[in-house]
Amino acid sequence: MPTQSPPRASSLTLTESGLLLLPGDAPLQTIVDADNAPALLQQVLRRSYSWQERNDVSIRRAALSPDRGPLWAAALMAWNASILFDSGETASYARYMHRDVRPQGRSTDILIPPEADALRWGVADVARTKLDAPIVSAVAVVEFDGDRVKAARVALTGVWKHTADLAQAPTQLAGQPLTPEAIDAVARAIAQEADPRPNFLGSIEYRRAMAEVLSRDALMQCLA
Amino acid sequence: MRGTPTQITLTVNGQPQTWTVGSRDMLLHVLREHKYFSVKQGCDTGDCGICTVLVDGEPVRSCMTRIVDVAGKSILTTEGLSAHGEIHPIQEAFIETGGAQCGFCTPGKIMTAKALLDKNPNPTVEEVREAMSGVLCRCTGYVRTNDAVLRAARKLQGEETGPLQPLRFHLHEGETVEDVELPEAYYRRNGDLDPLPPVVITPPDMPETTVVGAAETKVDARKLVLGRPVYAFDKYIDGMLYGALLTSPHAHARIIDIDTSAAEALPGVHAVLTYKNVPRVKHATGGQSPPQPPPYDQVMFDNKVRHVGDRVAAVAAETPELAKKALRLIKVEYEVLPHVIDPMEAMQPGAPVIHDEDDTVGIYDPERNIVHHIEAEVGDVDKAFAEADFIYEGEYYTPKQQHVHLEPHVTLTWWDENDRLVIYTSTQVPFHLRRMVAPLIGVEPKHIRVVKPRIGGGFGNKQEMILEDVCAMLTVRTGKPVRMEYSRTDEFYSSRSSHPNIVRYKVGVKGDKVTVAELYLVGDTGAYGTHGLTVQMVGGLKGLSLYNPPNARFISDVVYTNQPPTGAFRGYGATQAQYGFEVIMEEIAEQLGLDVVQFKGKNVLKVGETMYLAEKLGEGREGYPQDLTTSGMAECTRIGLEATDFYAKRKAYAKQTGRYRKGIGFANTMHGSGIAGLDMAAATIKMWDDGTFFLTIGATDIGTGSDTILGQIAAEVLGVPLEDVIVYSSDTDFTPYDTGAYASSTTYISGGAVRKAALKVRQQILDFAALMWELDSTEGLVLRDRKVIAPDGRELTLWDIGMTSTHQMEQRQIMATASHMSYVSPPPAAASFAEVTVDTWTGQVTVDRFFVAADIGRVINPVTAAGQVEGGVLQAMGFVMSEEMVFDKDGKLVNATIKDYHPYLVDDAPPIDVVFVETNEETGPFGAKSVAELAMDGAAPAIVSAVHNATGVWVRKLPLYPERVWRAIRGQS
Ligand code: FES
Ligand code: FES
Repeated sequence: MPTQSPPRASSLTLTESGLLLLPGDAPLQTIVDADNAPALLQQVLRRSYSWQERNDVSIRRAALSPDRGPLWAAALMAWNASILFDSGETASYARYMHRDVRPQGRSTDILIPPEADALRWGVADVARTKLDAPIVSAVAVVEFDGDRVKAARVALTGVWKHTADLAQAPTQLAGQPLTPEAIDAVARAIAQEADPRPNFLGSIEYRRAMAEVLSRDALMQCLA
Repeated sequence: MRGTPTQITLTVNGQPQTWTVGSRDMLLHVLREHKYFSVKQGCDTGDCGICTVLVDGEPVRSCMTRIVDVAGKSILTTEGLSAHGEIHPIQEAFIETGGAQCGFCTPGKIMTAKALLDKNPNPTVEEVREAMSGVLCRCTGYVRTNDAVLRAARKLQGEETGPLQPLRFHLHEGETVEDVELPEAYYRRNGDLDPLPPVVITPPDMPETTVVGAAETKVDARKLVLGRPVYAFDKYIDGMLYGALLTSPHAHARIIDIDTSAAEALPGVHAVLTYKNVPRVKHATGGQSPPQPPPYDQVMFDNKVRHVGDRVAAVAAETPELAKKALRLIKVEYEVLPHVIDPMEAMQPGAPVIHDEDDTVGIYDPERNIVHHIEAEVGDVDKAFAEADFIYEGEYYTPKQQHVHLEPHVTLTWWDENDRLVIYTSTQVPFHLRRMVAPLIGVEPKHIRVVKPRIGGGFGNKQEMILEDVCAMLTVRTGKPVRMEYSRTDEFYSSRSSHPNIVRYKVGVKGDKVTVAELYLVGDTGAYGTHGLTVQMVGGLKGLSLYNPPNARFISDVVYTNQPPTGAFRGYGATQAQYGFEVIMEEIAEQLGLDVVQFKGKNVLKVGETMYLAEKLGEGREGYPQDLTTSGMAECTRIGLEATDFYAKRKAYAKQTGRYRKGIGFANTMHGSGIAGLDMAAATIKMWDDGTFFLTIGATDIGTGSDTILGQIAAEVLGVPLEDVIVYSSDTDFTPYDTGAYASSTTYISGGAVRKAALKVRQQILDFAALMWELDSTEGLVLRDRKVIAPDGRELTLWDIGMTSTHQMEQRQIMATASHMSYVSPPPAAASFAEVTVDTWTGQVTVDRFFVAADIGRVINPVTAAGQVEGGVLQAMGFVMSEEMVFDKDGKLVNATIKDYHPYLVDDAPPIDVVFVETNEETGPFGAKSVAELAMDGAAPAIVSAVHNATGVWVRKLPLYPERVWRAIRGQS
């Protein structure tokens, strides 16, 4: 009988620059198993991929071909992930996926900021069923400086030409306290900003409306 | 081999292996090539998870894992779990709980469970649900598979467990279901998700039985959990050719020319079939009793294609890759024609005419694409509407649902040593196939043998000739064995689906009595008629009989469109039609301020009443008069009301104002038990000299457990345990005739045949015992516990009788065959209750709980019966919530993958609880009716009712996509 495999490395490597390295060739499950991986990424991976997929799909493949797990791509964007190339260059994951930047070389690993007390996050989606791919989803990450927002990012799926993308509107939260009123205003602005493509699961109007509802939901979770 | 040949070493099930593989070969295919047949394929695109194996202890999808990436690693397949001949506790748990129905997903489930329990020996039910969600199962509803994993955890820690037992309540004289106190867990007050055993409530007058009614484990369970190669999918023959189909990229086109010369010239290609070289024999592909319902609108290959995925040509070649290459070399010149996808548009003047050929007869109105126009009426409908106090009209829509059985269609054909053509195929209708294939391939039926091995699910889609005619023709043309199989994409495009329906009801009420109803159904049959007539007639009968108004009119148009053809699908029209009637009944009750349960209860068909439309609406012909002889509907409703706390919740939920709102809904449903006057089954039982029995049946176990329950019926009559009855099904050479596994007929019709055959054998045994004892008659002789017992206490074992009758005295074979049919089709009945949460801001509906109380007559096996209900409910939940084949303007499917189509996964599913309220249906074997299709009917109306309770709106179009619910809440259509 085969022997049990040794337990996987339980921690992600912290780089000298203070970022966590998500090894591109490692399976997604590495992140779920790691004790220092951000809970947001772990939750989103569990939501988006089966256990089997998390074992047989590499971190890089899932990041670069996010059609099977758009929420995962949104989470990486909201978490401010960057992508590392064998040329030594790095690029913002969101900008790379948006094709704003084209670094030299082949992508290798992903770098993410570690979990921090000053970071709060929220996730919301709508789907036919709990495990179905989201029709629209939103992932919000807010960095605080004291009681004010230092930076806020909301990445959405199902409302853009691309699988996932960051909304611009949340940048207006910087420097302000995060309040329900501010969140309302940002959510409304995100709905305006959204540029959805319709399909049988959601019209343009519906997707735009969901962009507002789900952005609000995700940001409200950051209030807690 | 794909890619560069590479040598790798790895360990498989503890054995070191060195294999030469292709650098792009996937682990799944290499394992199967090396005869690890437990590793199944449900999609090959990473969507179903049934190909799961463990790589260094971690579950992976073997279809998505390159073989070269597992070099040096340790692979575990299901074969490796029981490598030393001892069954593993996880496998045992799947047997004990009924967790393996068709069994095609079972190895994938078992391997995932192994990985989970290795890491987490004490998982919670939530952890089990999450871990197991990567493996799709289409049969079980996941209740018993989750149960199996939890039980396996206990077994691995040393706990002794036996087969899952139901919770039984035997009512005493004077007691009713109101005296039943269900344990607290069945109320699910805390929202827990634990799988609970089914409940069986037995009325006082039910005759006692021993084997019938027992929770016997399935007779085929062991081989299924061991992952043995028992399916057509697992069969390969040395020297066989691989058949492949070229299908249409167009929704509607004429084939101007087809050039196959390049394909034929390819070395290794043995045959190419097109409309040019096969006979044009008009036929229908639905597996139904002769004369098959018209129209005969199909030929093996035509010079016109009528849907994307329609057949264009077939090849047989020495490898699958060659076959695909040959298909690419076929040049087809199409004249693309206008097409029509919507059935209402298809009926408009000027719409593209889909069947303009002059050799199809029996189309009602070819110019308007109306295949059948059905009308049936009882009473005086117009007068009754004129006299009604209140008339209500409603229109409902049901989607086109795909079966998604996990074993695809697979057929192998070959000439045997006696020059007989063997068709080894994944079918529900072996006997119909034999008859149907013969004229198409020019071989007399007597030279054809159809063998049905284990079937990896069918749900109606294998009640159809899909690949058999082409595969057989390729064998006829080449003289060689040929194997054909559908891919998952082919299943979506080129097999069958349910009939989408527009369902319009007009109902008249006098006081609180439904006095009149009119039902108009538009059934979209797709490109061919196959089951179009019969599905819609069943819809009319079952839809209008549930509340059985004395004045009723049924009208249906069955319409061709350029969609893939529809066919038989579990529920067969009743699911669609009853959905509409159930919802409109609740809408009426609401309008009239009536209690919906009482209103339905007052109007529902009752014992002693005649189903008014039964005589007019048979299946494709006139039917037979039907009176309801048994019904536990009222008792089922009572139990459900209590277990769900229905009234209190309804009241509380009606007042909600927040974003998330809960709702509870209720529905009555009824089905049938076989097709009255049409279905026929036969069974043969012989006694071996050791006093055990061999039961052969034509009935087709497609994962339902029918072999088991038919064995139980035989064992009960013969006074032996089930283990003394070996059950074999089905092979047209060696088993007697049976119409097949459809129309909920197996328990009732095939069970009737088995009982009759067993009674004959029983009489022969008693006669022989009387002979041995030199008695004048068999009076007073009792057959039980493997013995014949005389009134004076003397005993003869069956072994004694078998040995003596075979070898010593008046030597004879104790054996009998019996046939059974019925002019009645007693309806099983169910009360279904759904609880939901609606997010009113997004429209997302989550089903939190489902409860079914069902009267299926005598419950022959509570675990297999509950499995049918649980699985049927979840399949129906897909129909309500997520599953719909959606087409773009070109007639191409936009969701032809399991992932995009999205059947329910483990953690999508709510807990489903099942209570059986037994009745004793005198016409059924030991009082049994049927179960398989009934389970399909309740989910839609119960869930829609619950959404209404939560939100106050009616969503009449299925599935309940979030946007549809969201719009309904906002008053938009
Ligand atoms: S066959 Fe591998 S996931 Fe379906
Ligand atoms: S038992 Fe799971 S698919 Fe049939």
